[in-house]
Amino acid sequence: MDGRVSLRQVAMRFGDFTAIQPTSLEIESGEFFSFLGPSGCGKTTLLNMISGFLTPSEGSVAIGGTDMTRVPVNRRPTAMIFQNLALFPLMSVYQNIEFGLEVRGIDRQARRRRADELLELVALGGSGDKPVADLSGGQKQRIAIARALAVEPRVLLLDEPLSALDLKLRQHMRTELKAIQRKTGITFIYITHDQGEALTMSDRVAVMSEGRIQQVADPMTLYRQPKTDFVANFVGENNRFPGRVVAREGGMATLDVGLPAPLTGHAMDPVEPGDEATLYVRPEQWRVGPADDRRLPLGGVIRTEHFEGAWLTLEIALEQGPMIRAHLPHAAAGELEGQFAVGSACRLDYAPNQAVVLAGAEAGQPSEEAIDVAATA
Amino acid sequence: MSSSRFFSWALKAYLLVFFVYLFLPLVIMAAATFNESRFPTVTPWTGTTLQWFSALWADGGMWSSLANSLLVAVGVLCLALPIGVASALFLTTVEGRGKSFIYALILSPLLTPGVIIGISTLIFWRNWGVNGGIVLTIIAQSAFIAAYVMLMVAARLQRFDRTLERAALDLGASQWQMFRRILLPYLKPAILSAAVLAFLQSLENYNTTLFVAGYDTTLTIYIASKVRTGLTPAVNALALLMILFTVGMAVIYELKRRREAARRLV
Repeated sequence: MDGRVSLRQVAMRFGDFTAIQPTSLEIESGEFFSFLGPSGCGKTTLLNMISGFLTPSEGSVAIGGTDMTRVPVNRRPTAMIFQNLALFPLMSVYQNIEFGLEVRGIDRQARRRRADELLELVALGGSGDKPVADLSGGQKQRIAIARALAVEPRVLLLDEPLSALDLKLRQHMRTELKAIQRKTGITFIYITHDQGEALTMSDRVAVMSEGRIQQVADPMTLYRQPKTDFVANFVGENNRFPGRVVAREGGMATLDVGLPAPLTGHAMDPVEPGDEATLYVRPEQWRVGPADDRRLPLGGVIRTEHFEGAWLTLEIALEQGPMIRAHLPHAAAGELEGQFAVGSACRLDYAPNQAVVLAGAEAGQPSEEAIDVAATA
Repeated sequence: MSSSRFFSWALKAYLLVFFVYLFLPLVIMAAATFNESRFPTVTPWTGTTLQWFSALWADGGMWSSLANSLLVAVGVLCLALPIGVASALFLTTVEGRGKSFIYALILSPLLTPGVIIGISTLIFWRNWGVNGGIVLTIIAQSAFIAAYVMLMVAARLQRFDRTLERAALDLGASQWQMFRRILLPYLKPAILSAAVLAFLQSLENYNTTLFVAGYDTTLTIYIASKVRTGLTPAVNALALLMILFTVGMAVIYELKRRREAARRLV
């Protein structure tokens, strides 16, 4: 079963507003693919073009190598899990799951057999006669999955289906979804603004912003080698240092960012001395030491300290520089107990080969929303 | 006496007055059925009798006009229900300025005096050679009863979760399958109550019907004409039977509802 999805130069315009800039993308058959981005970035529009609820203004959509651009939603080999699940409230669990088969004219016995198989798959065997109103949130989730799988789609589309669940259940369902995807081998296309969901489940993630795909990569690459400022800020946390390139050696670039010492990082873009560029250091990449440790090149003063369970978050005002955030593992924080009181001075360092340098040095900060989302994830 | 006790007393008194106001006329009307007096009244009580039931039974005009009324009511159901439901569905799909125009258009018969609907229906259909009668009565009544149906169905339709429609289509249903399996079951309670309302509206209508009924006299027109020629308590007997029928249906419905509610709890 070929579940490839090919978008060729698809664009979506609503009057003057361009929801999706011309975009091309290949999603492999059997892949768990996520679109990640803040609300309003166009990810839902993209999903609706694949499902057939929207016809793109330009370009084409193909599924399994067959052009689907003008095929209506009820003839496409896709099935959708809706954000509010959209289970039919007046029907039993069986009737919900069998709906897609019933409208295809499949006979009663075959329908029931298939429904029972699917109930087994989602670990809800024997609850077929219940009215859907009697199910818990997690059970409804599974019924929605079973209902969508019943029509044997080549591609399953998931529109933030976990956002209504509480934290524990959400984490459990991540594992479950991934397991179901492996078992069925169906292409899953997942929409979310929650990077935790996207990073843990996906084979590949497309980060979107303002109707454009910023980067498509596997989760690890996305985190370690962001290609744009937006990705660097949106996926995980980052400390930004805009500045000018002073030296370039091999893959490494050294920047003057206005601090007493120049900063060096991995050049992701081909930057040359004199170019504007920005260096990114993740909060967990900082090494924080006592104020008298002269081996550490940067100095600062600790402004706030937050205990976050597994780690400690320090906000440090750099000497002649901006405020940065650092995550210290719990163990390290314990060892250095007493040294990091709010108001005390400290020295800092980071591993240059883990820091990233991108071309361009707009003062642009990530949108408020991106910060919120990053903070809650 | 504390103020809260005063209020609860006042509330009870108000309810009593309200129910007396509501039901006393019905009680008097029912009582008059059993008075021997030739006019429908309870004073003076000239003697208790059941003769008006047999008088009713013998009144051929009464029964044929009732039959006409029922025929009209069924006809109105067949015409006004589909039109009302279709308008409600249509109004939820169109947007913008056209929507309020169409809405006003469908509702306008409700704001027009019934007499005018009757007269204009008659004049309009005359041009096409259709004269007053059952068919024209059905058409004239449906003009405004369809608006009631539309209002009731639209009220429920507004609360319909449109993603259910999307989900059905996404699972491969055609528009018609979606309508029959998802939307119609959802609208069923509203359509049923609209049907009851439409039926009663049709049965009791007088002012519109008067102009379009032609020689097919309906019950309301028959009774009104009797007022002129001399009304006997046979009319009260008919009213009493109708009340008993309505109350009986309501009791059966309520018992059935309670039994279902109890079964759901088990």
